[in-house]
Amino acid sequence: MTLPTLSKTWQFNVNNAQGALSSITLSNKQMVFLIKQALIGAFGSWTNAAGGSIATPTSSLWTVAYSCDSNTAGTVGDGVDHWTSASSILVANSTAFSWIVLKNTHIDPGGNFQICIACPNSDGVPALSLVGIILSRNAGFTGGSTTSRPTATDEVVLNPKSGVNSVSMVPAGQFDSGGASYGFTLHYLMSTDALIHRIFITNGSLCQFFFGVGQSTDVDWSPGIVAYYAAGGNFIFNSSVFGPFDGPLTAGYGTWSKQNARPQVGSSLTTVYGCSGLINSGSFIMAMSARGVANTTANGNNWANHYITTLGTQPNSISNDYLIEPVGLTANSSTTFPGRHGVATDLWWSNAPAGSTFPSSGTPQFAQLGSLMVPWNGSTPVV
Amino acid sequence: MTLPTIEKTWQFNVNRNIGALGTNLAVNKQLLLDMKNMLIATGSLGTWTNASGATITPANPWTVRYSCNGTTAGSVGDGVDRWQSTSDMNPGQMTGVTSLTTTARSWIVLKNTTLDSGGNFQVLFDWMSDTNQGVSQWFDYGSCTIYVSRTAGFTGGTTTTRPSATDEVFCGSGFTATTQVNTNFVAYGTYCPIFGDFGSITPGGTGLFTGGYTLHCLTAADGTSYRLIVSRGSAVSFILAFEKLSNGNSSAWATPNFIIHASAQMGDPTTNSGTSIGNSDALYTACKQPYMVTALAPGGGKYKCYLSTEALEGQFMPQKFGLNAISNQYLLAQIDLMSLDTGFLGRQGYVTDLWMGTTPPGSTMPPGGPNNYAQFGSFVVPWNTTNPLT
Repeated sequence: MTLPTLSKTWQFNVNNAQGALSSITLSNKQMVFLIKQALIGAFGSWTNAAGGSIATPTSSLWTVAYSCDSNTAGTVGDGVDHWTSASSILVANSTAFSWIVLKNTHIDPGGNFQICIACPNSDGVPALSLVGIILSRNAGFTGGSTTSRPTATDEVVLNPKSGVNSVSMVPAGQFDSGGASYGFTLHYLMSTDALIHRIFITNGSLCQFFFGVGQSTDVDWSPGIVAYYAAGGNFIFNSSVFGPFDGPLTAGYGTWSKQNARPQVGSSLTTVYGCSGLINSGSFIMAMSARGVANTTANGNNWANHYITTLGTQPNSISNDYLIEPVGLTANSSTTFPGRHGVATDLWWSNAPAGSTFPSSGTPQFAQLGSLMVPWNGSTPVV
Repeated sequence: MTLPTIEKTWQFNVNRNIGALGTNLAVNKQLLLDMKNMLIATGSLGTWTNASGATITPANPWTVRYSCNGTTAGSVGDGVDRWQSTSDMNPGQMTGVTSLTTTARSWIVLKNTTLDSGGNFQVLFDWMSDTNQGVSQWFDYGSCTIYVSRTAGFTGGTTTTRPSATDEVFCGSGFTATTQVNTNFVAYGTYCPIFGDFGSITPGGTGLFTGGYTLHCLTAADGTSYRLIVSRGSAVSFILAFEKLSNGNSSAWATPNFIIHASAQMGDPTTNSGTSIGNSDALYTACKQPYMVTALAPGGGKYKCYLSTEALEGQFMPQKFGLNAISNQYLLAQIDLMSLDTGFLGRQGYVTDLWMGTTPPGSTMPPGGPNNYAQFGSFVVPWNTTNPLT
């Protein structure tokens, strides 16, 4: 098979496997904590694309702007990381909870790109099964207390859902199908120019959580900052179906709706990945689109299913190769900016089994995480 | 908009507009004759140009192998073209909806030396259909069986029987050879309904199609692609394309030929259903109906393919979008060949220099000219700078 050409050079902090803890809550806390740790360069080890060890690229990573461990809320810019361990991350319904604001100076030309990870809980789901991720491209977050998250005048909420404290939340971190504890593996890929940052949480055959943000080089607006958010479990919709293409609701919809305005490929309501494009005036909703083929059993053939939905992990009968398809960035016709706006940089759909590497022999240059193929550092992927 | 790079050098004989001829039979006679003449590039029909619009002598045309006008049948390799005028175009008379005609009729075998590495790719057009048998409007002279032979070549044939080839492949539905005649005939089992858009035709003579058509022929100078496009206003009512896939997914498929033979508003040939599952555009029908793309399998035989492209919310992109809200530009989407047939599962490659578009039919690109691309129905093809007639 002809492998794609990379647009970027990449640095890797991958294969950080974590075993199951004694409860779903502890597993969720550990996952959120380690994501933060990885983003600020305090977890894992880094390599270049050849697998050679490199110093942690601290200046390219994120710094703590301020934070709250549910007991103590910091002040804007104090730089204090109150998330010192997984136990610092607390959630509660309508009471104190943890949040943290991280800053990156590379993603946006303004040098003040921030994310707020907020952990209010609601809906009675296991603790930390809902995590809010809010972005600020330039203005930066202010305010916040032990019972309310910081806000930013230009904030963009990924996956908004009404919840306590008027905070929009997402069904991230719900990596169980029945409340059980779970193990996971954390992978952090960053382009060497520090413009793109991607976190993948794999759990066996699934890429159950994907958060990415950065400048895409192949989109029709500039700077083409795209934020990706996809998570597995689909807890909100009470689906226990985990599949290689399952995902919960994604991207910043104005209205949380199963049927409306949800970018999706295929007929399954769980077949969704999404992202938001960040522009000066805020954001717009997109989906990670894919090539489709007519579904001969649905809607009188008037339907197109994602290739992967159709093929599963079956390789091409003639070449014996797996699909490698571009990830389109497309906004639904019902959104603010309808149209296909480009492709995700160095990210592809593939139907190879999770953990596969490409080329099929030799040093792994790409790896399969869930349904996504990503650049890789020559190591054997731990999924 | 960043227009896609045109990969092949194209030759054009386009904008042949035929006005109303009064009856479906008259129109279909003219169209089938024109299609043949386009493929053999006799020079008597239209003007061939290059992409700049300059007159050329086209490279790698098809040649007539032998033929029959319903009165006289040629012999193998005599090279005589008995389709000289519409009076030579005589459809057969089917004896029923489940059996092929055995009456005298026109057929022709054309040969191409460039599509297949063996240099002897042949196609047979067998105009078997007569007016409807009181069953289906689809039979209103609008059906022509198309077979191809990759290397062996066609032999035999009389005024009442078609030529055959040991490696012949029927282009169309009825993929189980033993049932082609008997079970799938009502719908479209053994023939390719070449003229498409029959929805409003009144069986027997008058109807929508009597209103005429515009025929366009685009061929690749290297002899690896031949496209006949019949446009009727905003839609492509029929497309017939003989292609060599230039970007196949494996060296294991060394001679990947495929044939697109799609009509608008096709039904499902597997169920004998006349219910349209297609689109008013022929190529969209091929997106929804795999029987409209026949791929020649390695080692002989065939398999079905869909035309496909990127999708969102269950719809192909061009179905969803007009202007891009950011770039204020239209979409040109690559078209892939995808097969779901056992043994041939997977994406086969993409169709070179053919795209799904979102501009209105008849549009040209780039804006302001020159007209290097033109939209017909929902699809965009390379163009020769002229103003396209739809």
